[in-house]
Amino acid sequence: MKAVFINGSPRKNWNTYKLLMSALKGAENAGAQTEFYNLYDLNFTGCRSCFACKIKNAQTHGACAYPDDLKPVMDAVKEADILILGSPVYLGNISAQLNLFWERLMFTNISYNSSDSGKRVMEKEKRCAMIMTMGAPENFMVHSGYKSNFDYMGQMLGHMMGGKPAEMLYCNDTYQFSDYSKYNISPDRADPMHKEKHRDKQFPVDLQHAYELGRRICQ
Amino acid sequence: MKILAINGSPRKNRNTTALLQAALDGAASKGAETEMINLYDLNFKGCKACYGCKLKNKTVNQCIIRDNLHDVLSKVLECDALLLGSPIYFNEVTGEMRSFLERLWFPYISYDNKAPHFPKKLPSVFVYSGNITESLYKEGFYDNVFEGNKKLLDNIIGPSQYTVSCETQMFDNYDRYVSSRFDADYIIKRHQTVFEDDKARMWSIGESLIK
Repeated sequence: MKAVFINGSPRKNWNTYKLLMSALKGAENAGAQTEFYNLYDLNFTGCRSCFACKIKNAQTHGACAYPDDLKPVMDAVKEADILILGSPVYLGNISAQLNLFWERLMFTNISYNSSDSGKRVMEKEKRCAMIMTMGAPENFMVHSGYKSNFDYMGQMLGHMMGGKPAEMLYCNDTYQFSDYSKYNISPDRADPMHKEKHRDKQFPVDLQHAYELGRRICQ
Repeated sequence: MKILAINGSPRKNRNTTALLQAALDGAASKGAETEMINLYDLNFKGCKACYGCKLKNKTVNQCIIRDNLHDVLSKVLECDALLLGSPIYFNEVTGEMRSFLERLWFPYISYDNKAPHFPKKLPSVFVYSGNITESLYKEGFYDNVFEGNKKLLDNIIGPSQYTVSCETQMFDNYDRYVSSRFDADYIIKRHQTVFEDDKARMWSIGESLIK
């Protein structure tokens, strides 16, 4: 059982990273072999529309052939049984860096044959999960439409990788700065005292949920 | 007058690039200085959450990261109108365009309820292209992208409009690729007719930016 973790956050040892590592520990506990990739450490672009993955009868059909830093990650994902993505929310979206990976992954898997109707090309089915972290509280996430957008992404990911929608784990109201006093932040936007309390009380629960997700998805 | 185009497409000889170039040519015909920046040629990443743009007592002019994108962001500040172009990949602009937009927008957004502090009202036009169909577009399927980007551009940078070029031609030869989903004859015919209109529209848009 091989589980690949993809970190779409730029900061090491902050919220997204910690949640993914917790999920990784859960996966290891369930006996999975794990691999962890930090996308910001790698030099790669998004899909270049070379269409090697779409050439009829070519060996490249169904695999992203582009030879850059992402190639080893794509190779690992191809062999994986489990795929877990993590990202902060930047301007209502997954991070752009995760978006680059998303294009490379999803486009090689989509079929432009009318009879395939968009089904996946990649052979090995994967169970997937997405961990989304954000400063926004849960009610904002729901009312703004973020949650339905990300749920839809999870469905697309799951459909493309094997069938079941990706399991989604949302982590809200996260603690964002090591020192809030260095920044101009209005209290209605983020009260550092509240953030601290929430981090101390809720984040360990979120970490536990991530651990359980990692363990459960590998069983 | 200076017109800057930010190209979020990887292919220099295809649709998005041609649409942007048409607008630049229209502006140049009225005497503007024009420049096209191809994001795929640059080595840069999106926001890295260093928060250098959010420190107290420090108002930054642009994202402080010193990489290949730094000078491009300076050019945005110096231009009189901004063109942006991207194909649609999985119901979103390209990741490279997202990387650019993160670095463009986030530095001007404040966490203390102040208005974004971009130093002027910079008009912009966003052109989107791709396999997207007119019917889905008209149903509002892409509104979260088109209207979402327009809103952020309006609020942060200046008055923004967008235009869409649907069902664009992906390949020279559809027979070479697994592509039975597409009616190649229809697409190619459309490229010779509707796409020419799309380019002409971009030309007019470019002209109209020059006073």
